[in-house]
Amino acid sequence: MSIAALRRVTFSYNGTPIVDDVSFDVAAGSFVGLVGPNGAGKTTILRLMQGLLRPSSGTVELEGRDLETYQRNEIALRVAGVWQRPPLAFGFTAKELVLLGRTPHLGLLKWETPHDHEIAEEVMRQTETLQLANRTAMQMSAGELQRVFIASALAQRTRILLLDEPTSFLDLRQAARLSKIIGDLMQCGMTIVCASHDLALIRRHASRVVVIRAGRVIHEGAPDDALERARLADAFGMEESDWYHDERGGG
Amino acid sequence: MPHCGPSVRFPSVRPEKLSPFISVRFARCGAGTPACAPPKAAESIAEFGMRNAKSGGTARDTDRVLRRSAPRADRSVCATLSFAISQFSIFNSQFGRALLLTLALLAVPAAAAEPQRIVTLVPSAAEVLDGLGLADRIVGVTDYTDFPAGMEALPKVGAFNNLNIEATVALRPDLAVATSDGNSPAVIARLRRLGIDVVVLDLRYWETTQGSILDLGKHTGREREAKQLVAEMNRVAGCVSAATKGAKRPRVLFAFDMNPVIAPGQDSFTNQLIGMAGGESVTKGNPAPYPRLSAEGLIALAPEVIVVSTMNPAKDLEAWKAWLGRWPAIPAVKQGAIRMIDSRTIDRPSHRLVIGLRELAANLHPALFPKGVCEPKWRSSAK
Amino acid sequence: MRRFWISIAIAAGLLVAASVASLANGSAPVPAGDALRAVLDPGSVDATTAMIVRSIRAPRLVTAVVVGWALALAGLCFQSLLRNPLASEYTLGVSSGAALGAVATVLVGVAGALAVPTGAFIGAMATIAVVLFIAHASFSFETTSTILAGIVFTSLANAALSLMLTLIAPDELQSFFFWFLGSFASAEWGMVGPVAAVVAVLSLVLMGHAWHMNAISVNEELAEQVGISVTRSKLVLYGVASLLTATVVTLAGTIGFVGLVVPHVARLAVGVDNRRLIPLAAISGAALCVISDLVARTLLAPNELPVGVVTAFIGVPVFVSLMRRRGR
Repeated sequence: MSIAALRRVTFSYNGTPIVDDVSFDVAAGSFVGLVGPNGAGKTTILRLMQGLLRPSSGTVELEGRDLETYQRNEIALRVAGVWQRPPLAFGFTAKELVLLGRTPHLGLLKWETPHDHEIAEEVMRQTETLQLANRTAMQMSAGELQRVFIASALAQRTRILLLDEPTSFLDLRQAARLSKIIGDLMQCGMTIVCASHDLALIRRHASRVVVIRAGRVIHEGAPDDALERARLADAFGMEESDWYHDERGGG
Repeated sequence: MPHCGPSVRFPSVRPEKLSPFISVRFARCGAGTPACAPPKAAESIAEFGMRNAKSGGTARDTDRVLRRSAPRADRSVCATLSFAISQFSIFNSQFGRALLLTLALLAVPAAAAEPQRIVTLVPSAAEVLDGLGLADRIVGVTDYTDFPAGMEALPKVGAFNNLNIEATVALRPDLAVATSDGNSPAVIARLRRLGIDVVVLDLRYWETTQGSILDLGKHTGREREAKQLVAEMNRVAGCVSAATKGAKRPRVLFAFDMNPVIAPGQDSFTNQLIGMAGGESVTKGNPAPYPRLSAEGLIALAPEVIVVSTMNPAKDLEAWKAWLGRWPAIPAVKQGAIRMIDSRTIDRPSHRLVIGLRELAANLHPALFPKGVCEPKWRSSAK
Repeated sequence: MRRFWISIAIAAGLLVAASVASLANGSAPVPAGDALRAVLDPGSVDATTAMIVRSIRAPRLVTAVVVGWALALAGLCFQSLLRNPLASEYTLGVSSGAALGAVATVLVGVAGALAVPTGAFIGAMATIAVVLFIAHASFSFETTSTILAGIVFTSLANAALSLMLTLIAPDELQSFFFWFLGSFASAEWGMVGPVAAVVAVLSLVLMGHAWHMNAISVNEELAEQVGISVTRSKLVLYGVASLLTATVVTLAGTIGFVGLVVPHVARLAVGVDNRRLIPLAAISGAALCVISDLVARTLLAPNELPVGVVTAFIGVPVFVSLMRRRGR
């Protein structure tokens, strides 16, 4: 059963297609890895799936319905995302940032309840960010901030989680911790779409992998097949002999 | 240059040029305190002046008074301010004019009891009230009101263009006297809503000034005095007109200020007075309310007489002669016809402008106005 | 939260004290006791005192409260929307634009009670559109260029305003000062009442969008992700900020630095959460304006200073010290 899908989606910016006629399905409870070189369009695909961008043609589906028919709040109740972000202006604290993830669940006047605080603290414990609660963005490292945003997305309590390079700023311990969190979430039936160069993470969790180059899907299939060295070398436009990645990390 | 319609005004108030003439009356009867009353309330100032003239008052008295009220330290600030005001007091919008007209009409209710506590909202109002014999009823004035004598000692209610409503109300006036081009219509309306009777004088032209004096007289139960003031105005004007009849009308440049020269534009009150004094203002057709002229503009206008409004005739005469001496091409310079006139007699709109009118005429036609000819009667009311 | 209530108490205490001082002091020699009695029991004092306090000082006080309140909220709103601490209705040229709109309405001669406020509102909205357009911002932000565009536009609007006031329009220097430096001198109940009601409604709308402001001031994309319709919210917030500015300008001309400084001080006290900032900034802004007006009308009594002069003299040093503290 597909919970989300792209149907012949094209997205152009200034006349140049960034995403070009892309289709794939995301099964409920699955982990879909998006793999491809920088600028291939992975981030754009994730944004399209969250309705942050509108396709130039084709449709993005969420739970069998065109995403266009959803209100913003309805999307936010179903899909959360973790993004790489520009610097933040005012000094919001980690706790306040995590609580922002509760927005779709808040009432009309947007005042959070003790229940919201409980959830925020729970996900902050999960991501080991509770001790950062009163720090502002300026007072955190990139990795700490990354974990705060992961916590914020988790606080949203959605069925679908979109991850864009979630491990890029994380140290070994935190990357392992994230991997564990992902495993736990999958156990609970979470659907995850993850764009990453962290092949170990993809190999560990992915049920399907979509390989993208220049805005097009060049391969879709099981991880072992999709992440084959020759195929990746081709996707990334490199000589197989240049390959230096340790492949044992996969599973 | 084209003639640009009848819609210009006199500079609302030029506070640095306030005339002290009638102050003599107060000086005579005490220390110039507001409690010091004029000889008899019912007696009009014109009447009083005429009586005194007969009893031998001379122009020398006037000079003495002039010296006494020498320029104060704040005059330069005041001059700057008044210049700024003259620059901004341009009033051309239809809307505003209609509003003013309405206000002016509203200002003339049927009749009223004699006011006991009057606040003046511009310096000229105090002058007109003094003419009506009501100076002793004035309980509050605006900044720079120094005529008649004793006014400086009264409580201040702010500047005419920045009135302090609270201070005005606190004086419990039963009448406030404003002018249409000096005071803000909004402020006048506000005072009325607070229950204060406001009379708005239109002192922009000769005719409106006379009309306003009569209206104020009617409003304050001083009709007879008002009529006498107007009659005296007409007498002097008629006398000047008769004296200059047939004489050549010189081309006159009237200057408020030097470098650049600031002159009266369009058909302002000043230009009207120049015409009445037997001259022809060279800036009469200028569309700007207060044209600023360069030396080049001066040469082009070729005035035959230059009349400078000044607080300090001796000093300014030297300065003007030095400055203009460089351009002998100007007929007035060649003929040495550079004249100083006391600003306090010419720049301030009230019945007393006829003093300035006579002075102006005497400057344009010196031969026609020996001492004593066409002198306003209230001028020598001092002893 | 405790810090929040303490801050509110301090600001409110300041406002109450300044208000009492405002009612008790003025250019008219009314004893302070009589003045306060006139508020509580007008029958116990003479009619003139009652009139001075109830018809002149009181509406003026309420005007200062409303204006300070609205200015602080407008400034807070612009700072959140543009994620720039230098943004305010004054630095963005919105005040000048509103004044321009108001003066233009008077000049054109549009009649009706709502004509001038409407003109001011159109002027304010048009200014935002122009400023964002100049900054190539089109509803997303390049914050520095937006401020620069605001400064450029302010100069342009002020030049146009000067032109209108000198060449075409009114006969009074007072109006010149009014539109450039602000004044509460013309305050009357008839005008203050409706404006206070409008500002109250706008404050509630703003409070209802406090969370949206939070999210937008963090990051617009994040706001979108957590379910906030950013474009809609920004339209609402720009509309509210413009309306606040327009009502203030109609009532009291352009008064600078309140909208710039007050949100900063409030942020120092309670942090960046707009749900706390909104009430605190509103009350502090009101207090600042009441104090400024008290200074403006008592310092050189009976002459009055334009209140914008006083807010600048108070606001600029505060702002400079905040900048220095921030820079460290």
